[in-house]
Amino acid sequence: MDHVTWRQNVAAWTFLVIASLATVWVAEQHGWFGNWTVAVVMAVAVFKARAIVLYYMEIKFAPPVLRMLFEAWVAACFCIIVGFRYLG
Amino acid sequence: MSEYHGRAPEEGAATEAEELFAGVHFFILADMAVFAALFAGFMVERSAEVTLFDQSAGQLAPRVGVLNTLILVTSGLCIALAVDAARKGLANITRRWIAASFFIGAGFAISKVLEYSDKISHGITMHTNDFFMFYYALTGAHFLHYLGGMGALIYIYVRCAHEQVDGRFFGTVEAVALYWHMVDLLWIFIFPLLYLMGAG
Repeated sequence: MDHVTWRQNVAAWTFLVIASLATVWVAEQHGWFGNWTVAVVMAVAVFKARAIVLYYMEIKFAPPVLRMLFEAWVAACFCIIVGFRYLG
Repeated sequence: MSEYHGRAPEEGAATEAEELFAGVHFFILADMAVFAALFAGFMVERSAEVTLFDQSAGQLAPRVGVLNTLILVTSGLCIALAVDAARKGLANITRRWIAASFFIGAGFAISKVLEYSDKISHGITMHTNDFFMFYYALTGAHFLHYLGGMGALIYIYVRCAHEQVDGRFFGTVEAVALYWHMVDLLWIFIFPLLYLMGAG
C-alpha cells in the first residue's frame, strides 16, 4: 500500500472532530491546565495539523524532503505561537 | 508526482502530473510560509498589547470557531474520499464526494458571513484596534483562499463528467484536493490563534 486508504481518512476525521471539540472544552475549563492552557491547545493543534498533512494530504507517503518541509512548518507555527505567548 | 500514489499512467501523463504536483506543493508551501509570517506578526503585536488582545479575543465565540473547524475537516474528508474513488476509476462516486465536499464546505461561508455581520453590526471593524485588524486580515485572507478552493471544486465537479478520473485528469483532482486541505490546515492554526489565545 502506498497511499492512504478511505478507512485511514475516516479515522483521521474522527480524531479531528474529537480533538476540535476537546480543544474548546479545554479552553473553557481554565482551571484544568491554568496558565498552560494555550500550550495544551496548541499541542492539540499540532496533532490535528499532522493528521491533515499525513493522511488527508497523503504526505505520509511523500518523499522525505517534502514530508520534512510540511513537518517543519507545523513545528514552526507551534514554536512561534507558544514561544511568543510564554516568552514574548 | 506521485510515484508514491501507486499509479501507472502513460509516460507523458506521468510527466505532466509530476510537474503539476510539484507546482502545487511549491505553491502550498510558499503560501503556508506567508501565513506563518502573519502568525508571527500577530504574536509580536500581541506581546505589546496583551490585555487589549485578550479582551478583544473574548468578543469572539470559540464555539463558532470550532463549528467552522468541523465544517472544514468534514469537507476535507469528502474530498479525500473523492480522490480515493477517482484512484479506483469510479467517476460517479468521485463526483458525489466532490459535491458533498462543496455543499458541506458552503457552510463555512454562511458561518463566516454571519460572524462578520454580527461583528460589523456591533461596530467592530478593522479599525477598531490592532487585534481586529489582524482578525479581519487573517480570516479575510483565509476566506479568499477558501473561495478559490470552492471555485476549484466546481471546476473538477464539472470536468469529472467528461474525463476519465483515473487517467490524466487524476492529477488535477489530486491537486485541487491538496489545495483544499491547505485551506483546512491553515484554519487549524488560525482558530486557536484568534479565538483561544486568551485562555488560561
